[in-house]
Amino acid sequence: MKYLNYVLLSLLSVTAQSWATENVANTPSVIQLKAADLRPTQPSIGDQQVNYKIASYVLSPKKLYADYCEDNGAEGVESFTEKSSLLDLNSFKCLAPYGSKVKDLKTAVIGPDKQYYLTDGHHLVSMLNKVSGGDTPVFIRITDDKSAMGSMKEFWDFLAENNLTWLKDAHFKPVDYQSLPQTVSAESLQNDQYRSIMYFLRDVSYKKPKSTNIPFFEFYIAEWLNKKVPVDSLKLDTREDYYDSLQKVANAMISAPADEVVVELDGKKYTASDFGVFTAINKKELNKLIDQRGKLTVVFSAGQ
Amino acid sequence: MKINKYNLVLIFCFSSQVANANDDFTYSSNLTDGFGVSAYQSSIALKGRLQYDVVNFKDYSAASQDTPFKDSTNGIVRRGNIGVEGNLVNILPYEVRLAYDRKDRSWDVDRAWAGFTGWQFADFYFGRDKFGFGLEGATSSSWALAAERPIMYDLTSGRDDIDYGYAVKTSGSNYSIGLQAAKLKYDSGDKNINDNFGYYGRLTYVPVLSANQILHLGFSYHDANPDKNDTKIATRLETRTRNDDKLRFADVSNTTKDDEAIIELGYQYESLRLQSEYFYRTVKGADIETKTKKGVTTTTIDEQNVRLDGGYLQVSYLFDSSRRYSVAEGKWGKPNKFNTFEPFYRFEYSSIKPNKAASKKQLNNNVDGVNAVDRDDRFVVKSSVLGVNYFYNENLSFNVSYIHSHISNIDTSKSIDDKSVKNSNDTLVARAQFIF
Repeated sequence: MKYLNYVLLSLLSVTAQSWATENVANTPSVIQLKAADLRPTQPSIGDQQVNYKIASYVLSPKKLYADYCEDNGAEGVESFTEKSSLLDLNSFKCLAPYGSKVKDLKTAVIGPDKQYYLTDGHHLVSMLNKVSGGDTPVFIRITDDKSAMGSMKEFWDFLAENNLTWLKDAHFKPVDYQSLPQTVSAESLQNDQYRSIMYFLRDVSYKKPKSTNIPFFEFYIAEWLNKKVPVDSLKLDTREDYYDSLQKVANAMISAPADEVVVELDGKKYTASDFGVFTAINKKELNKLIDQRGKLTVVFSAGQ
Repeated sequence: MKINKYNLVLIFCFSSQVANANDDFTYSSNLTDGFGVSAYQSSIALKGRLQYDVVNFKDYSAASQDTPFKDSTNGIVRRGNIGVEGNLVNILPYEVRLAYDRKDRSWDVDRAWAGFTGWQFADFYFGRDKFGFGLEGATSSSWALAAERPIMYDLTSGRDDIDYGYAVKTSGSNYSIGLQAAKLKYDSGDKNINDNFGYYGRLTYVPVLSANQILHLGFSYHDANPDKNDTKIATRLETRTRNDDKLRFADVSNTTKDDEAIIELGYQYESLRLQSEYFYRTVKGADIETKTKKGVTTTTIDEQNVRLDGGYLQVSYLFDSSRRYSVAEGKWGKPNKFNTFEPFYRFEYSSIKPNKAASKKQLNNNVDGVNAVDRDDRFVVKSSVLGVNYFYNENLSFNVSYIHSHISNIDTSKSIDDKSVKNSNDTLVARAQFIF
């Protein structure tokens, strides 16, 4: 009987934790917008990340619909045909209703100008713009409605205070929010090479901890690495050069002490360890990048 | 604390809390993603494979059947493996695997190795592993094109099981280099074994590599570094049966030289894949016989040598998909997409030229009566393999291969149990493969 009590207590503990997690979060508001409706809160994206995604969709159209469904909170793709189009949501079917997997959705904040400011998902929206244009539907979770705020400056201060904006250019120099473009696309946003490098180095030299709530995670880690290996010193024009550069950056990354501070946010110091930086390169994952269907091979094959 | 089912539940609850607390912890427990756990830059995964063959064969491979050379059918477990593999702190990869031995109906450790990958310039491995010798030889037997590898891999020894060895590997964006020193694995009853370390090397280069197109060039070399051991030259003609008939061309005693090389060429454009390899092997030794008669000892030395060469050309088409290629390992592997068919054809040519002293008198390992027309002449084996693979998914695939072989220099005027000796072989193999 004593043991049974332990069991019941343990089960209760697990259940209570799950309940708390569900209810602490704000009730989200999910809306359907068009890609063109969204405005950026950062000046740049990693073009090569977007290019890779698009190239991989050419090789595997199913992946396009699978990713689209997942990124729009609909779990995955159930069916599609050659005639399917992202512009027509009835032309393919996802496994779940759009927006039902709230955690998977990209986020935005409504500004005083009644515009939707994207706080997460610039690469996705840029990709959608490129693949099927500004009319592509996208499901977004609105985290805050600041339409009642008095001014745009007040709004951007709110975003900055809550780490919801990244106002640095591709060389990590501060920029003003007024210089941001009006659309979220690869054409309007700058190309941040380091941001792409961080995409390719996922699971190679770092792994974003699941529970992390550090916003613009890859930008912070990129800025930290840029001090060790400046982006201008990297050759990134060919598959071979890019691979060499990735190794160089990955080595710089793993060589850093685990307690080295990457960024200080709201008075809290986040270390390399907090950013999931490995102590050694995962060569298996590194080698995957250059395989025939590896990310680097695919992105540099595109357009050939 | 007494361990009972309640404690087990407690442990489970506790472990689920640990899993929640440490978000590095991931696990999978399904056929699609495999069965494994990873945490703290380390991983362990359970791997397994079962290949079951139904083999219909006649002529040469049926020489030792109750009715020699008669059309026969066997069902065999071709391969059965189970093991674990993974990595510790990203720099210490390892694998331990048990393989089913259908002859002894026992399990044997056929993989037990660990490595160090912490340096950028090269990776180091120690233990029992297979060296990726040749292009089709490097390809996992789970994803080799036909049911069996080409006959040239019977006629070379670079893929033979090793007892243990040391390997160094490195690779770049379009090349791979592998070097190994290893001792061969022998059965406990084997005599006159090679106890020396043999030397292995492989270089691959990929001058063309894109998502749709690959050109692979490679060179493999193996020096067995003989130890005055026995060397056997034989092939199963891509036919695995319960009796395990082999075609033995030559035995070399007191081997002093045994080296071989393979030139590899492969090209893939989308679904179409062309592949060819050429091999060359030289074995030298001597049959030394010492006799004492009336107090006088005489020694006769018959020099033995075997020269082998040949290769194959194969073409395959993987509908609506293509084979994955690994630059670091210089080999093709599983399809990029499943639920697809892959028809293929392979033509093989092998020339085996033993001198008379090396040539076997009885060519079949199970029965007497299969002899050469001229023991000082060369044997030529020509084979055609026609087949199709069906890859249902990552776990389940099927293969049907028809193999026809013709061997020259076999004396067909002889007979076994009144059945004329055959100089050809016909085999139909149907395989079901389950891996996870």
